[in-house]
Amino acid sequence: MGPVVGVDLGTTYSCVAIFQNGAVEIIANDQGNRVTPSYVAFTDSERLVGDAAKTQAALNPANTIYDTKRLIGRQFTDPLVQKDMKLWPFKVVPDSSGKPLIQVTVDGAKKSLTPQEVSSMVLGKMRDTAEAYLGKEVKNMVVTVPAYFNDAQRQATKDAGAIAGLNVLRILNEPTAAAIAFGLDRSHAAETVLVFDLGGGTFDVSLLSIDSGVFEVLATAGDTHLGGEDLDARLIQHLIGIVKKKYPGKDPTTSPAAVQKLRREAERAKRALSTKTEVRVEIEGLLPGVDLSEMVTRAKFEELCADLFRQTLLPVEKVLEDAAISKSDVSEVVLVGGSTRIPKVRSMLKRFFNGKEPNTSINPDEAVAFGAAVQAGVLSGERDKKIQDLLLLDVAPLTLGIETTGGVMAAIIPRNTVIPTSKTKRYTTAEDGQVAVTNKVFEGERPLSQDNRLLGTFELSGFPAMPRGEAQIDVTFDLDANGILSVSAREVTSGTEAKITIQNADRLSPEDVERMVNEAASYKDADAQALGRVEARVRLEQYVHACRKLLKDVELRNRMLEEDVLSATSDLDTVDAWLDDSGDHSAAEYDERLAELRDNSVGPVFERYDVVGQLHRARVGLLRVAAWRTVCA
Amino acid sequence: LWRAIIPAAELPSPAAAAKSSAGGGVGRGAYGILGVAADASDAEIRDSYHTLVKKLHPDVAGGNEEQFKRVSRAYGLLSDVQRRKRYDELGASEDDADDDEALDDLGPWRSIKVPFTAFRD
Repeated sequence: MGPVVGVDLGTTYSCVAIFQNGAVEIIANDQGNRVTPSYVAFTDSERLVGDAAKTQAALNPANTIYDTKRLIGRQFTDPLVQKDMKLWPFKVVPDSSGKPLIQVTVDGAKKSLTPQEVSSMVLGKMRDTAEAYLGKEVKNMVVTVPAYFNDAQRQATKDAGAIAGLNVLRILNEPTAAAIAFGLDRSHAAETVLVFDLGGGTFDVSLLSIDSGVFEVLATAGDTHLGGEDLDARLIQHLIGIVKKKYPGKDPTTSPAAVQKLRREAERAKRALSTKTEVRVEIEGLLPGVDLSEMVTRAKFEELCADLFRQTLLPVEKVLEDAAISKSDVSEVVLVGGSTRIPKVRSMLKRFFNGKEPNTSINPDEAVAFGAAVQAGVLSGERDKKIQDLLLLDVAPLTLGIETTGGVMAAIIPRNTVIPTSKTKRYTTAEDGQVAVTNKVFEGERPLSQDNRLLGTFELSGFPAMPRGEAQIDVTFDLDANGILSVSAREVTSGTEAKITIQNADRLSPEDVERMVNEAASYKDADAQALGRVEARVRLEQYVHACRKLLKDVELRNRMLEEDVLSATSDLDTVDAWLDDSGDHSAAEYDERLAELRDNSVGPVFERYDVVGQLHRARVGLLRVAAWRTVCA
Repeated sequence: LWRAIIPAAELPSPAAAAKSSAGGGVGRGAYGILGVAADASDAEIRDSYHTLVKKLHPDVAGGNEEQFKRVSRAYGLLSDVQRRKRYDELGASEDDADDDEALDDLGPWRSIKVPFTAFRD
């Protein structure tokens, strides 16, 4: 099946890793960074993904998309979407079925993208990063999601992979992946480990037992909308308040660029406050005539976020209660996610666990991708003694059930059930001659279905008419290893397969996925073209540069005829002028110019003096420098 | 519009049956599925489960998903103190369909479920 990589698809940053030769390698991107911003931007000429997109965010706020993990699998009317939208500089609109679409302007035309499509671009970038490193095509991936992601969010993440032309072998829970990173090299006796994963946008707590290679999730809980970005938002609101007070009548929220600058500085200040007790936030020209310079102390930051910090302890209590395990039985509290660097988070956890120091032995930014790569190795059948005995037993994060009379939720698969799992329930008809039944599948923990999330409505039909109570319809709920539900049904007495139709507003239809796959392929062509153009230009520039270098060689200059020097120089000047005329040319045009120089103008001149070998060496040297620059930039 | 059928599930305790007949050997019902005695300790049940799933989990070469689900269901029942206690006393868990498979080993007992089928709104 070729290489299988593990990808941590984060709210703010993503990371890709591979297990090979008995070890995990975190793969650096083309900028040399081990994590890549989950950003996608559209300029008039190209699409940017990752570092390039984040770098230009303040200049192009309306067409720079991030945070799609906060949209994926949600409805437009979701209160959290409505709240997040207020701080996003890009536009979000509802589609005809109530799903959110992100609207950007490309070449003057409006373009709408689903969150799945934007995520697929980030996944595609991670694939490209892996392919560049491995020198092989990558078709298969293990992608992580927050353990507390629901069915729609998991399905949508899988769809994002499909749109990028990738086969998502497994949707893996982030804290479980982190637990693998933590436990892989530990030869301890059985341990009970609590993973506290506070990332950029989501929060998970999982309690696991690790025992001779078996990673068994005992319970999981979390909040799919709590993370570093929410802390940034508190700081941003605080700074906005200060600006409004100092400059009456001025409101930074009216300017997307100003909000973007505040966001950047708030994130920077928050990070600094993990090591310093105070930091100055300075933004010159936040708005015309408005400069911000404000000291923020760690104490102030903690005060602004106090309720959010407190919220993180609730899932900790819940997993301990669900698994019937006491605080003192937890052998390690493992920290994952950038936000666990915050001193207050650490001190709170330490106090909660009666003075037990949290374990910081794994890299909080890379552990999830690391674990995903290990699971990818397991699934690809990699034969390695380190992983051949490794087994993950993960669980369903939310109770799945159906609505019964009176709007009561009847649990079918309780939360924390080991997956994959299936459960069959037998139903009958309530009226004589009834030939169809309808039911609603919900997920959530509340006793009344109206308080839970509707996954879909399914209708059963196609079985023969019978007196009431005689039909026996077995409905099977299958929850696969990805935590994704499918439902099938069969009428037992007649032996007929009942037809089942699930209407789920949150799932993309196969046709939608196919259309998006085609669109993604067209981006890929455009990206490849852009890359080809840049490479051709670099080839030409290097050739000119190498020629000029050669012309400075004293030994050669002494034996060259003056007219040859002049003609070569003039030819090179012509090309340089052409290169400087700002416009983008096609790869073919660059190559044409290169061939002209090499075969018809300066090339034959150098040939006469027998220095083509020298020229070649100079070029290779330059190309090496260029390649090195690309990696280290 | 429709109702769930709940089996009456008034079955004799498989644990009690196992104790009296097998005398410390492998129990019946959920115990049999996990290959442990009816009086097995929590640690024994867990060890046995881990050994089984290392062979049966669908991620493992030669794994068997249906068997894995069956074993996991039995383990879910017996690793929960409350549910195990009720199962030992009643011969069934509070959760009807759980037992469809967990009680497979009861063989002849299974057929009595149908005549006692009840309706619940």
